[in-house]
Amino acid sequence: MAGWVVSAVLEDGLLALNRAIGIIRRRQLVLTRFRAGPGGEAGTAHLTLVVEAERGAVERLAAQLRKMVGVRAVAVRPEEALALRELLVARVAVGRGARAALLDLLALYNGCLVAEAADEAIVEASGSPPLLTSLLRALEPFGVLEVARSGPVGVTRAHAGLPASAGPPVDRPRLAAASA
Amino acid sequence: MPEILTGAQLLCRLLEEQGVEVIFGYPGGAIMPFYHALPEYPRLRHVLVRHEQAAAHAADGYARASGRPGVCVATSGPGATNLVTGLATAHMDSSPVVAITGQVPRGMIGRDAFQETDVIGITLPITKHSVLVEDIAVLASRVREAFAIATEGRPGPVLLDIPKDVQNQRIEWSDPLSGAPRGPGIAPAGPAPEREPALRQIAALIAEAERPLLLIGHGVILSGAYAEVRALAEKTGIPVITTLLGISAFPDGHPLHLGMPGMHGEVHVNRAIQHADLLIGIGLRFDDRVTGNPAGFAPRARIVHIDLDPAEIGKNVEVTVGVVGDAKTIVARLAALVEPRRCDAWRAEIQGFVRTRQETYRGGMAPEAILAGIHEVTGGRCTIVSDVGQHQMWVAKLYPYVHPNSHITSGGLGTMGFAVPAAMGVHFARPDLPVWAISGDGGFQMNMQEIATMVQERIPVKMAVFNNGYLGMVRQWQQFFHGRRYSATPIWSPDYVKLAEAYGIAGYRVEQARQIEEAVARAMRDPGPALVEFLIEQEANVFPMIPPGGSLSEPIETEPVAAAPGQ
Repeated sequence: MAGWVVSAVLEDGLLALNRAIGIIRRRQLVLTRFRAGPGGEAGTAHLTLVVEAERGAVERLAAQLRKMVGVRAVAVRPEEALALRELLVARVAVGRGARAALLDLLALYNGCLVAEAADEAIVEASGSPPLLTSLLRALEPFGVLEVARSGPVGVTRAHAGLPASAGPPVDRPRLAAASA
Repeated sequence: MPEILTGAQLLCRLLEEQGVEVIFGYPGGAIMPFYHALPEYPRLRHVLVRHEQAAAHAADGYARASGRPGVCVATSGPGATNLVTGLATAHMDSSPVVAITGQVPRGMIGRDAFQETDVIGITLPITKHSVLVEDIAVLASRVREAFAIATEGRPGPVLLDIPKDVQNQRIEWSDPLSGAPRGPGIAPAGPAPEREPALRQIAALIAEAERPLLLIGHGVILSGAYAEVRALAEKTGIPVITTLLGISAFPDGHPLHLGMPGMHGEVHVNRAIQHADLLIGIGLRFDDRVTGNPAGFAPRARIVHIDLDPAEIGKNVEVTVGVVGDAKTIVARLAALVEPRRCDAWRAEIQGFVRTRQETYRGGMAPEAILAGIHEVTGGRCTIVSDVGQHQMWVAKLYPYVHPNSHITSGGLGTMGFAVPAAMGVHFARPDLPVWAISGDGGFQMNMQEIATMVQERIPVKMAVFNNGYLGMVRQWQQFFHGRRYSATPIWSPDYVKLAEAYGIAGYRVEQARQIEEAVARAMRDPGPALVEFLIEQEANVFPMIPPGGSLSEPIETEPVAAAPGQ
C-alpha cells in the first residue's frame, strides 16, 4: 500500500485540531506517522499525516478536511515527493567502555550527544523517519531508557509533481498548496 | 449613542438582527440570563417545548420549510445533550439550524460542575461548526459567524455554547444594528468560466445518451432549482427520479416523473437506473439507501454528479464528470447548453418495467387511501411531514406532491420522533398553510409530549398516526430476514382519542376507509391541533424492497415463504 502525506493548514487552536482529528479518526485509515505543530503563518497550525491507503480514500479524507470550518488548505502528496525529516532524542545507557562505540554510531547517523552522565547519555539525531528507526534499533544494545520523536516535517522535493490523478476530473477551485 | 448591554441582551439583539422570528427552547440554570432578557425583545417569539430534542427538530422543520436558519435554545448539561439527536438529524440532511446552549460559568468549566457537559466535544462530529463563546467581546462575531456558516455553501447546524457568566457580562454597545440578516450570500452570480468545459462535456453526454436519467435530491430544494431542473428535463425529455429528500422538487404528476429510487423504490425506477447509460445526479449524495450495493449500481451508466459539496463528488460512486456548484446556477446553464431532444423510446422501455401490485387491507385501510383522503381534503395545499418507518415510505411514494418542498422528512439519520416537533417548526415557517405530521405508532410515541406545546402555543398541526401495533419496518425486516422472530416489535399504544381528549384537542379514530375523508375534514375544520388515528393492517409490508446491501436489480416483491434467521 502506498504512503501518502496529507498536510493541512489549520487555524490555530485546539478546536480546529480536535475537529480535524475527529474527521481522520472516523475514516479509520492507517496512520503511520502524525505530527501537529505551528504553521508557517502566525495564527495557523500545521497537521502532517502519513497515511497508508488507496489514493481515493486519502483524497476523500482531504475533501472532508477541506470543507471543515477552520481549515485553510490541504495538500495530498505521495510520500516520495517530499523530503520528510524527523527529530529523535533518546536517553541511552552507556556502560563501562561503551562511550566510544556510541560516538561511532552517532557519527554514522550524523547524530550527536546532548548531555552525558556517568552511566547514561542523551543523544539526538534528525533524518528521514526510516533512518531514525534504524538508529533506534542500533541503539538498543546500549539500553534505550527513553525515546522522544517529533513526528515528520517536510517540504516538497524539486520537480516532484503529483502523478496523474486517479480520481475523476472534478471541476473544483484549486486550493493553495500546503507544505507538509 | 453607546448603551450598556448584558451578553444575554446582546444575544437577543443579534438574533433580531439575523431576522430570527421564532425560537424553540427550554430554560434552565445556565441559560437563565438569556431567558431573563428575552421578554425585552417581543419580536423573538419563544416556543416552550416539552423536550429539547423537539426544539432541535422544530428548528430543523422551520429551516427546511423556510430556507432560513431555525433556532433552538437549551440549558447546559442534559438540556444540551437532549439536542444531540436533533442536531445530528439536521447535519445529515443539510439543514441550517443554530443551537444556543447555556454553559456553566467559565471558571467552572472542566471541573465537572453541576449540569456541565462538554457539548462542543459531543457535537463536533454532528455539526458543521460548534464553538464556545469565550467572552462578550467576541459574542457578536461568533453569532454572526454561526448564522453565516449555517447557511452558506451546503447548509448545516452550528452550535454556540455560551457560559452563564458571559451572558451576564456587560459591554458598551454602539454597533448600528439593522433588521436585515448579515452574512455572506451563498450563490455565485453565474457559472464560473472554468466550469464551462465540464458543462459542455455533460451536454455532449446528454446528446449521445440513449437511456439518460435525471436523479435529483435535496440540493435541488435547498437551492430552489425547481424551474431549472424542469426546464432541463422538458428540453431533453429525460425522465426524472427524485430521492427521498428530493421528493416534491419535481411535480409527481409530471409525465417525466418516475418516482423514488433505492431500497423501497418502485421496480421500474430501479430497473431504469440499472438500464440507464447516463445518470445525471443533481444535489444528492448517492447514499446506500439509494444505491443498494454500490458495486452493482447503474452498471451500464456513466455518472455525472453536480453538487455544492466537493467532498460528495466521487464519495459513494465513481463519476465521469463532477461539477461543484449551486444546483440552480449550474442547471440553468446546462439547460441553456443542451440541444433539445426526446427520449420516447427510452420512456416506453421504462414503461414496460412497471409492475402493478394488488394488495388488500382490512377495512380497505390501504395507505394510499389514507393519503388520498388527506390530499383530497387539503386540495394538496399543505406540507406533509413524515416520521420514519413504513409509513414514511408510503407517504413518500403514494402522496401526489405538486408544490415544491411540500414533503419534509428525516432522510439521512432516519430519526423516529421527528415528524411531530418538525411539523411545529414548519407551521411557523408557513403559518397560512396546513401542516400534517404523519407518524407511525412507534415514532409518534417518541415525541407525543409535544401536543402540550401545540396546545399552549396554539400551533394547529394536524397529526396522523398510522397504528398497526408494531414497529412496522423493523417487523418487516424480522419477517423477511430474521425468520419472523418478532423480537421487541409489538408495541402497545394508549387510546389516542382519549389522549387527544386529555390534551384538550380533537381526536378521531378511523377503522374503515369510508371514514377517512370525514375524519380528515373534521380535523381540518378544527382551528387547533388535531389527532387522527388510522388503524391499519398489522402486518402490511412496504414493497418492493431491496435487501440491505443488495443490488437494485434484485427486489423483493412478495413476502418470502421462509427465511433463515439472522440472514
